[in-house]
Parts: sequence; structure tokens; C-alpha cells
Amino acid sequence: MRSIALLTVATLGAALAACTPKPAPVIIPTLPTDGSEHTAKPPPVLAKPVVDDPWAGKSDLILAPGLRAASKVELPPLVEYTLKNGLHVYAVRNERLPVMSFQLAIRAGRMGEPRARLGVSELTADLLVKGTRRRDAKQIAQAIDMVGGTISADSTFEATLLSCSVLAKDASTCLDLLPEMIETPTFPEQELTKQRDQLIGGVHQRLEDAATLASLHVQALLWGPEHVRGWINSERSIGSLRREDLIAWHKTWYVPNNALLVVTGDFDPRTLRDRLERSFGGWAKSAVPPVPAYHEPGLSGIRIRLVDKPGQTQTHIRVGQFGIKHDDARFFDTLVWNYILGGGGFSSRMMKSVRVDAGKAYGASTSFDRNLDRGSYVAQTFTRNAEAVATTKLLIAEIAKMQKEGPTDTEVAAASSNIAGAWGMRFQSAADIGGALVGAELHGFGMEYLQNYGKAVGAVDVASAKKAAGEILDPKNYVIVMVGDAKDVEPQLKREGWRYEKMAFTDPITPEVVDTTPPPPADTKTIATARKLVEEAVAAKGGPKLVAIKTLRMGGKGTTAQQGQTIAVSIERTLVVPDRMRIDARLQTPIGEISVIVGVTGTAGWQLGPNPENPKESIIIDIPAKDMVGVQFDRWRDPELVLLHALEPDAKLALLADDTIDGKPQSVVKVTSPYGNIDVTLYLDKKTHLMTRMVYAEGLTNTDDFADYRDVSGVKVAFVRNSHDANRDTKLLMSKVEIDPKIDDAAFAKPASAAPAPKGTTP
Amino acid sequence: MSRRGTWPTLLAAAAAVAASTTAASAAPKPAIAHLPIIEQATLPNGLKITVMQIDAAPVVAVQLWYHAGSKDEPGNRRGSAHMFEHMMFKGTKHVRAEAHSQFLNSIGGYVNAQTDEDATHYVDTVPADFLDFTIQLEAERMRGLLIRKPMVETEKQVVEEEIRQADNSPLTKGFLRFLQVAYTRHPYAWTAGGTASDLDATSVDDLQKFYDAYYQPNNAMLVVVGKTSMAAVKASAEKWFGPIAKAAEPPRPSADRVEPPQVGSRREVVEPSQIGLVLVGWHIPPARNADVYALQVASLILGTGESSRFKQRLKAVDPKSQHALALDGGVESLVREEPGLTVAVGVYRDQAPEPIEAALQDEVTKLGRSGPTADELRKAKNNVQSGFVFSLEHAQGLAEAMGRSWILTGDPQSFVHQVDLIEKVSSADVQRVIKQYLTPDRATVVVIPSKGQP
Repeated sequence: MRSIALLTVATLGAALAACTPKPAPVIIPTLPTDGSEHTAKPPPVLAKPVVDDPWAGKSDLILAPGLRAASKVELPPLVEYTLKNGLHVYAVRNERLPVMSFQLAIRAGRMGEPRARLGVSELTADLLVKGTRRRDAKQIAQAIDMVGGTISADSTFEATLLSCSVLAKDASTCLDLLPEMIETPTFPEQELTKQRDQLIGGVHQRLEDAATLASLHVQALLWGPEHVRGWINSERSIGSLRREDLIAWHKTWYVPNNALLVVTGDFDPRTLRDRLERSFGGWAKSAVPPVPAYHEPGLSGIRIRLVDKPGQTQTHIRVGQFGIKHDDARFFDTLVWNYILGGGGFSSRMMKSVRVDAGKAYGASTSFDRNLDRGSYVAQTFTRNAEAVATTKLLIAEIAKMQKEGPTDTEVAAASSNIAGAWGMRFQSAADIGGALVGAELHGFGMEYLQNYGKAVGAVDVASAKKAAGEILDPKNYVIVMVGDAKDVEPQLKREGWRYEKMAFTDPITPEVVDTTPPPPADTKTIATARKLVEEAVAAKGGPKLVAIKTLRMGGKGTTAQQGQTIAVSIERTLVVPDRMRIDARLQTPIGEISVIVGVTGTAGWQLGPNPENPKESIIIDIPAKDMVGVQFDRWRDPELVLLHALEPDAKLALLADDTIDGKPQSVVKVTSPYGNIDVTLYLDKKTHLMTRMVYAEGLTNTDDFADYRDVSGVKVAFVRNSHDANRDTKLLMSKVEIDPKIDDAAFAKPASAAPAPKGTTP
Repeated sequence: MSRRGTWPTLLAAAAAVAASTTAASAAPKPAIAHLPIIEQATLPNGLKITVMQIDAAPVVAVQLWYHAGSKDEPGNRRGSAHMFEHMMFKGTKHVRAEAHSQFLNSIGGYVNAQTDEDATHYVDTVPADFLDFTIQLEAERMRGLLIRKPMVETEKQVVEEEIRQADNSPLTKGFLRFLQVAYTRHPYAWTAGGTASDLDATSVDDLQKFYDAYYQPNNAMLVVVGKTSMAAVKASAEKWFGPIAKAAEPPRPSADRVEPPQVGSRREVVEPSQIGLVLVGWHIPPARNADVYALQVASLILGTGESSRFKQRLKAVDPKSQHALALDGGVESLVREEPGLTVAVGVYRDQAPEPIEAALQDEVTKLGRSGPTADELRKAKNNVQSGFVFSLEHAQGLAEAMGRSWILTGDPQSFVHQVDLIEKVSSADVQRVIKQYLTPDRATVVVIPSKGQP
């Protein structure tokens, strides 16, 4: 096929992306189709070749090369192991070039989507690069652009694939970004809206694209409305997807024991496993539900669907039936006979039949899915409206002939030479091996599959191919879809006596379903508003600077009044994102200074404080598990970070009625923390968008007020903090605030002895 | 098999530039310890041979690069270089029409060809043990082509249909118009796509003349990358190309059509399309001029990657209007053998073009005024380095880079040296070239309005 590269938006998008392999630019491709004024008309149907053969009778022609003998592909050795959290790793070392590639496949794809949530898998994947707890979309782009690497996430029918490639020296960029994307995506509402609009744009665009419509309709007709393969998304189905759906999808499927990681390239095999444990170790194992199974519909007879697209000059035709599973013993036979029937481009029977012999169409082809389930076997072509039925009959005739007679010896030899030859040239880079390995391992095949693929193709003979074609192709039961102008096509169908159903090209391809799942607890619109308010507060507080905070140390002095007594206090709070915290508190009590230190790492913590038995003595205790939830909540609600935490998927947001504090209007948002489901109410100043108050009930209702915001390294920090509950009133003035100070890990380690550390130092 | 016909879409242009920029990148501290050696030889008849041995897979990428592009066409035969590329598949004295592709496909090989402004190249990526056979086929069509009238007439229809397809696209038409506005004299004013009327007028004689002038061993380079050796390639080339005689140096019509310096900005609004485009172009020096490295760095900083200045500016959602300035944006420096263009693009649908144009110009001016940040400079260079290393992964891409380097600079290794040269580009260099070349008073602007525009 000679196609000139048109300057379509699709090619332009590619052009813009050409310099750097990045996630695809946000561009809705305009697919070439007839009926659309700015794209090409299909090339003319070729006339039969003129008899003009200057080579006839010549004996000195260069002869065709000998065919390829199938051979085993040599691949570097594979090492595999399972990390502690159940993530299975395949590592293929190749030192030829100093590059590394990470391909993480999660068994979560369209086949697991509920019917009322079509597109959730794709949308979830699309948003992984659009925000994590630590980085917004720009920071993710910046991180990968900085090292000249690529990162992407995409979802298919069976799996979601995240891929990151960098120079080997920059491997840590992938090892930081990938775990972030899978563990702490934030699915920002604004990005979700953008991405959803883009998908909806795609649904609109496909109305102009008869080829895509035909391919979708044939699946819907073949599999029917009770099978996931028959469900085609729509503007409505995409529009109904909410952030909560993405969070639920992510929570259900994105777990290490439901994934596999392929690492290829130039790595140090002695340290790789440790590095992976460190990077992916925080990704928690969890039970994975079974993927929904569907009853395969049967087919009896021939079903024809005519999709009327007025003004269409070409009819796009699909003939569909069921395919075979990838692990079917006849898979390689099918590769071969399919190549001969329609998979082999210009050399295929179908191409020859419709293009050369009959001059009816520009081309024709066949293909089958390579999936865990049977998938579909589809023949496709397009032709002038007037030739629609005649061309369809040619496709059916070729299918029937292959089913009955199978291929010839010569055809089998040529097909297997081509397939095996191309396979042998396929593995030039480490990532080539990795990509193929992901595909194989998802289906339970190993490296041997890749090595022996060519040999397996070579083992196909005319008898086995004929047998497979005879069994798999069904000349009696299949579906036909035609997308064209009904006024031209209908008379042909009627003349032929073919019974058909007729649809408008604008009709939903799959009957729309009513969402039967319980409605979300809160109005999605108000959730979105709440989210937006928090996002504004994040921006006001420092935006990217805030998001980028890795460590934090702040100290303040003040007083606390309790039971009529006022005493001096000083507090230092140290945090290392995401899960380390230390609080050093000193209280000048009438009986002397009391020092309390709390250290937390992940889900464990210790406290150094006065012995209740003897307040003059200090003791160290491990904080009991039952109290850790409260401690983790304290860490979660840290005033500098709570806004970020509120945007994480595991926090629930709600919008409350506006309020005023000191005469200043406030937006009020409620956040339910994942730790103990404690509600935190945030008061956000309508003018400055800064947080003025935080209220939460940890036992007693506690109110923290914030004032005197000052800029510290680009982050707005409240220097005046008043906190009170029914018993206590504390006023603090910050004296030292450090963003991203260097903090020794030892600060969080449980001290060996109970001697309190000297004031003002951090161990 | 798709024979991409030489359309200077931004895509093709970008691909061409990718060969000279992205692929042309290495590190200061070499990101790669031992670069595979590029070996060169020349046969007595002038055919240049360049070989890079890579044993990663049993593959060889065999390419024949002819120094003949659309800028070598007579002004009234626009499109003949591309037309000629099609003819190269239509049979020779000893190979039937289409058999070249059929033979190589039958062993799993990949066959393609492309014509651009400066060159036409033929691509055969095949199992390594078919090297000699493939070289034989390429030698056969270097001088053995049968240019027969019936075949020419049929193929004309095919190529003209391609042109008509392009003519149906307002985006393509707009881009072609942009080139005509930018180039008032030089043949870069048209692309390899050509025009239907010129093609109609193209006779068998014209094609034969083009063939005899440019498809000669002393106007070509054989590039082989993969599991082979210079000795094997040379032996095969001597066997098959050796008997072909050296010819006269081909004519270079563009030498008489030097583009005069642009005085004053130019602006045109063309026919609308579903999707709108704002194209802003500036003339830049040819590939052999050292300023192109700083210009490439400027392009990367302005338009490459989601974190680039254009994308950040154009795609940011304005908190008030809740809209972005544009759908997307980017920039490419189309570095060519003769003076090329740096082209900035904004893509839009519901937006207005004027603010996009202003934003593009503004970002360029800002970068010229204040220079890139250290991070931006590092990022651009890192992209060049990593792009270079990744380009070494696949034989076909490497062969392209070597062929392209030869066409652009006369040295098939220049894509390697460029990495070091780009590494040396300073912030001041970027500022200097922007002030010298990318100024508003030297800009050519073409707006393709969007039908979706309010």
C-alpha cells in the first residue's frame, strides 16, 4: 500500500513527539476516512494489470532467494525471582548498551471492566503519569525529561503496561517514578476531566471513521451484549466515569501479586534485587478477585448488520467469527494458514482475490486475537458501495476455500519462511526481548516460547495447517458488518435475499446499560468542588514547591494552658516524606522540665517520655499497635502536608457549607483520613486560599488555627498556631522552619538508652 | 509494505531532523564506553561504503542513499524524484516488477524507500545471511532499471492520487503554502510530493535523464549496519557494483537558486481545517554550519517534552477561563543540506490563533533574552545523549543516521561528533543564535484557522 504521509493531526502529533519519545501528546487523532472533507478519498480501485511482460521467456533473471530454515533464536539468559510482596521479576541482562528498561505489567485490562464502567482501565492508566502524592503532572514530565528517558502507561484488553526506559546511570529515575505511579497516584480531578474529554472526543471522531465503526460493530455483533468483548464504550459510558471509579479500580487490581516486572539492559545483577526490593517493597500485597468470566455466545447461521452512514462512498466490510486461544495447540498452524489467507499482506490469497483478480478493492486482510480467551477472527476490506455485496462474497469464498482445502505446500513453505525470518530479526535491543517476554509471561509462556517460536512455525506442515484451518474456520456460522450508505447497499442485500439488521451510524454500538451499582455516597459534583478547593489551597501554599517537600523540620515556642495552669512549651516536629515523623516536646512544669520524644517509621513507633510510675525518670516504650493508628493520623494531618494527603485516593472528600472566621469568608471541606476514618474539617480562606483552621476529633474535638503565613523556601507557612480542645489551649510561635533540611535516619531510630537527647539537637 | 513517499510533512521533516539531532547526541562523559566502529571505503567508481558491525542480532540493515532529492528537480518537474522512487520497484533487466520486495519479504525482510528534499534512500532490512543477495538487488536497480511507458503511466496515476489525497487536506496544503511563503527562490519551496500538473508533464525521457544524472555510483552511498563486516560488504559491493562505471558529477540546480536573506516578517492566513495550526518559521543556516547545534538545543528547550517551554505555556489551563491556549505545541529545527527552517507549531481547535502566535514568539524572545536555565540546558543535552545511545539499539535507525549524516554534512560519522558539539553549547550560544536567527522581524507566519474556532 502506498500511502503518502498526510499532514493529519495524527501525524502532526507524532511529529511533535518525534524528538522525544514521551507519552503521546494530547491530541485527538483525525483518522483518514472518506466522507471527511479534509482527509483523503481512498485510492482508486486498481484495474487489472495490463499484459505487458518484458521478462517473458528470459533466462537470466535473478531468482528468488532460498527460503529460510526455521531456527532457534539466541537470547541472553533470564533470571527470575519473586520479591517479598509477591511481585514476580524477570531480569535479562544485556551489556551491549548502557541502557535499562523496566516493563511492569498489571493483569488489569478491559476484560475486567464492569459493564457500567467501560473505559475505567484505560482512564486509570492514562492518569498514572498525571499526578502522584509527590509529584504533579509537570514534575513527572520534568523528572523523566531531565534524564532524556521515556515513561508511559497504557491499558489493553488483558493488561496495563507501564514502561520506563533510561540510560543505565539514570535507573533510579525509573525506580522512583514507577513505584510512585502504581502506589500513590492521585488521579487529579482536572487531569481526569481533560483525559475524559479526550476519550469522548475520540468517540465523536470515530463517527467520521467508517473503518473504526466497522471494527467495533463486528465485535459487538459477534459477542453480543452479554460478553465483555461485545461492549463498546460510548460518550455516556465514558462521561459517567468518576474519580472514585478509578480509585476503586486501582485498589482492586494494582497489587504486586497481580503484576510482573521485566527488567532488561545493563544492570548489576548483584544489586538489582535489593534495589527492586527497596523501590517496590512498599507496594502492599493484597487479595485479587478473579477476573469475571463470561459465557461464550454461540453462533448459528449468518447474522448481517448494515450500519447506515449516509454520504459514505466506500463500504467498510468485516466478516467475523470466533478465533482461538493463544495456548491452543493449533496456534502456530493458525499463524501459517492465516498468513496465507489474509495475514500476509500483498502475498495473501484474499488480497490477490479482491485486489488483483477482481479489481474490487485496494486491499483485504485477516487477523486474529492473541489472547487468553478465544477472541475473534476477522476478515476486513473496503470497496465502492456498488461492490459491497460482491466483495463480501469474495471474502466468504476465500474463507470457505481455506476451510475446505487448506493451504498448499508452497504456500506453507513461503509463509513459514516469512514469519520465522521476521521473528529472527526481531530481538535487537534488550527492550525488544523485554517487551516480547511480558507478552509471553502474561500468558504463562516463558523464554523458551520466544526462542522456539521460529522452530514452531517451521514445524507446521501442510497437513497440520489444513487440519487447523478446517477445524477453526466456520463456513456456516459467522457475522457480517457493512458500514456504508444504505441507499446504495440495501438494494444489493435485498437482491441477494440476505436478511440483515439495520442501524444508524450514530446509534450506540452496544445497548446502553443503566448503572445498577449503588450511587456514590456523596454527590460527585460537590466532591469535585471540594477537591478543587483543596487543589487551590495546595497551589496557594506553594504548589509544586509544596508537593516537592521531602523533609521538614519546624520548631516553635509558646505556652499551653491546662486546668488553670500556664506553662512554657517548645516543640520540634521533624518529618521525612512519606512515613517518618519525630516530635520533640519540652514542657516546663512546676516539677521541672519534661521531655517527650516520639519517633515513627511506617507503622511502628516509639516514645521516650516520663515514666508514669516515676515522672523524674525517662523510659522508652514501643507505641502499642492499637495506638499507632492515632499516631499515624497525627502524621497524616500534619498542617504542612494535610492538603496533599487530602488529595490522595485513600482520603474521602466532602464539601461543607461556607463559614466565616473573624469576618473572613471560608470554604469548608471535610476530609476523612484513612487512619481511623477520622474526619478533618479544613477551613480555606476564600481570598488567600490558605488554610486558616483545621478541626478534628481524636477523642476530644480539637481546633487548630493558623495565622501569620510567611514564605519559607517558596512554601507558605503559618507562624502563629493556636490549638485548643475542651481541656487545653496552646499558643505557639514558630521560631525555626526548614524545608528539605538534611535529616539523619538515626533521628527516627529508637534510642538505645533513655537519656533524653540534649535540647536542640537531632540525633 | 508502505513506501512512504517523501512528503515533507512535519513528520517526515521531524524524522529527518531526528536523524541529525536526536540521533546525533553523545555525552560529555561518554554515556557509552565503546562505540561500535564506523568503517568507510570507496570503490573505484566512486560508490561510498559505510559499515557498522553490530552482532546483537542476525540482522543487516542495507540502505542505498542517493544524493538526489526534490531540490534537484527542475522547477517544472516538481515531484519527479519521488515518482522516480516508485519506478525503482517496477522492474529491471533481471528482476520483474515488484519482485525486489517480494524476494526480500519472503525471507522475513522489510523493504521501504523515502524521498525528501535532499536525498532518496532505499531500505532493505534482512536476515544477515541474505546480505549479498540484497546488495545484488540494489546494484541491479542502480543502473538496470527498465523505464517503460505503460508502467510510467500507471505509476503516475498512483502518485497523482497521493498528491490529490494531500491536496484534500487543508493541513497539508497549509504547510505547503507555508514553505512557499518562507522560500521565495530556493527549491525547498516545494517538497518531494510535487504537483500533479508537473507530474503529468513528466515524460519517460525526463525520468531517464534524472536516472542517468543521479542514480550513479559516485552519487550514492551503501550503508550496512548489523551482523556483518566491512570485508564481507566490500567484497559483495565490488562484485555487484564494481562493474558499474563512474559517471559525471550530477547537476545541482539549487546552486543557482540561493534564497535571498529575508527582510521583514511575512504572514498569511490560509484555508481553514477541522484542527487549526499556527506555523511560525525562521530561516536557519545549513547543516554544515556550527550554529545549528545551538539552534537544536534551543528547539529542544522550547518544544521537546511535556516540560518544555512551549508545552507548558500552551497547554496550561488558565484558572479563570478553565481553558488552555492551545491543544499542543512544539518546535523543530529542520536542519537540511542547504539553509533550512526552525518551525514552531501551535495546534488548536476551540481557541483563537493570535494569542498562540504571540505566545510562541514571546517564548522564543524570552529564551533569547534570558537564556536557558542550567537545568534546561542539561535536560536538552541529556536528551541528545540518551537519544544517541537509544539510537544504537536498532540497525535500521543507525543506518538512517549514517546515511542522513552523509547527505547533510558529507561525513557519515557526523551524527556521532554532533553529540560532543551539542554538549559544548553554552547558554550564551543559545541566546546568540536566537537573536541572530529567530527574530520576529524574520519570521514567516502561516495560520490555518480552525473550523471549530468560536
